[in-house]
Amino acid sequence: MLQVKDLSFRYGRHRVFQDFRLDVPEGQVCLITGINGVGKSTLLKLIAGVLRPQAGSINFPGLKGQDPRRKIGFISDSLSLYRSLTVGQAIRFHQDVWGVRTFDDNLIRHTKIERGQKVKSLSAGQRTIFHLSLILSTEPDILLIDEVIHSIDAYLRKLFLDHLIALISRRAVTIIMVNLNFYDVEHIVDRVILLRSGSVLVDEPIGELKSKVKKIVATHRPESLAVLSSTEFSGYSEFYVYPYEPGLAAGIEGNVVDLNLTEIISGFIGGEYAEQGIS
Amino acid sequence: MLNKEFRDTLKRLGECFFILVGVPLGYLWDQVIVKAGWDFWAIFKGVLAALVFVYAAYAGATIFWAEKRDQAFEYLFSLPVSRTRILASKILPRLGCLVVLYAGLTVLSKSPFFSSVGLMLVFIFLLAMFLSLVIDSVVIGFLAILLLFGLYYFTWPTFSFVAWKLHLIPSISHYATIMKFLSAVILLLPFGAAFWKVYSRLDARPMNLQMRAYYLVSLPSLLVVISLIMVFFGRYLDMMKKG
Repeated sequence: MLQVKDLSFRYGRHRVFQDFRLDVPEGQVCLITGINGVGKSTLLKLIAGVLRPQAGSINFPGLKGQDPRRKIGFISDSLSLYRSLTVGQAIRFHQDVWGVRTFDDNLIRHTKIERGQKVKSLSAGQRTIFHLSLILSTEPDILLIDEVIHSIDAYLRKLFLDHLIALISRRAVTIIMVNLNFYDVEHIVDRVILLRSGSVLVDEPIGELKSKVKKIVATHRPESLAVLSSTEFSGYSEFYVYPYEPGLAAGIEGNVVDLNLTEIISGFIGGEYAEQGIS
Repeated sequence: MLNKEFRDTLKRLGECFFILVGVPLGYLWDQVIVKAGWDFWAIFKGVLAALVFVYAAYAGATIFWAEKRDQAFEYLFSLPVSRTRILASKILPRLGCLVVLYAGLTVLSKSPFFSSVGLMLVFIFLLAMFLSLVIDSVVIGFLAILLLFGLYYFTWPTFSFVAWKLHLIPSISHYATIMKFLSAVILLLPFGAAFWKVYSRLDARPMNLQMRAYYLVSLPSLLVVISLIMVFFGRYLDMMKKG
């Protein structure tokens, strides 16, 4: 369980969060998304203890009396590690800090990483897999994964996600991930949180979100429904609507299309950009 | 964590003392070409002594070098270790190395001059470490350390003078080592307090966004110290002129 209470944070004069609140129950896989600069990575860093809030608190009720970082695994978007160490030295350093002696070489062997290699010589994909291996060796209860999946090739991405799925099936791990590639993670996500200017714009379980966001292909704007964004084509338009209610859509002439997560988020983000005058 | 810092310490030591290789080369050059009759051991000891001072500054100034170079602050702060433990694991091997160097230097020199060298080395090391948070440039860092080290040579006679005026010591020349120690502490305090204030709250934000507290603590205190030194050092000089 993770509770973010009245969190405020700013970078210099730039306010990112003001009285932000969020609860994430144990074992939930949460996807945080939103347009660039909305505070997604900042939120993960605050939860990981890498940034310190100016006000408010982040509580871990299940981890009373111990440093919460002991139960958190954090992969930052910059894949921050001691790059001048060799892989072997980085493993020993990580083990020393956590006081663990186990490290499963299986994952890094798949990616042809040698223990004698310098961390800085690893590709972005290898470094992501290596970081995941380090984190998994400490058996975290909370995994924070910042936009790293999109930077790795299809094979490593599958490897990464397969390990996440195996972890989730083995025990109740809370996963909060920031992602811009929704296709790969759609099948493991329980909840989608869309941020907007440091606050929550949408917070829905993925099933409900899919039933509430639809695309209507029609010649006229559906006046009875709230339109997030629209795209005009010759002779017809596509309208992304939220919340979609079958009762309200009864009189609309056009096709109602189910959407996948990528299309749903595109609909929301398209609306955000449209509001800012960018289309 | 301590292992990594120990390795880093030895690397920095190697980088710094690599210059020593130049001494036998210079000696050979003198023997074969210049023939000025260099005293190898005298030059070696002189260069070694200078390098120990340079190393003290280098070890302090590069205390967060690995994190800055590797952009590893995010990783470091995500680890379940306190800031105190991080700092202790960084300071211990470096200070240990300085102690060994100081001991070696004292043995080599066989000179009473080296009795106060230890204090100066620790002073330079801590000063460089305290400044390392705000100063990234090696040149500016060394200049700042030189300036403050120069200030130290005004501070301790001033301290002796004030203590003598207050009848705490029988004469200005008494308890010089204690006065030097107190002066070093007084000069280190503003920077040490500023360092700790920032370091204990340090996070992965850009460094320049976190340094306001450093300047707010260190600069006014330093100004007060410098003003007091100017006032009392002037009086001390007047008294010395009058005999």
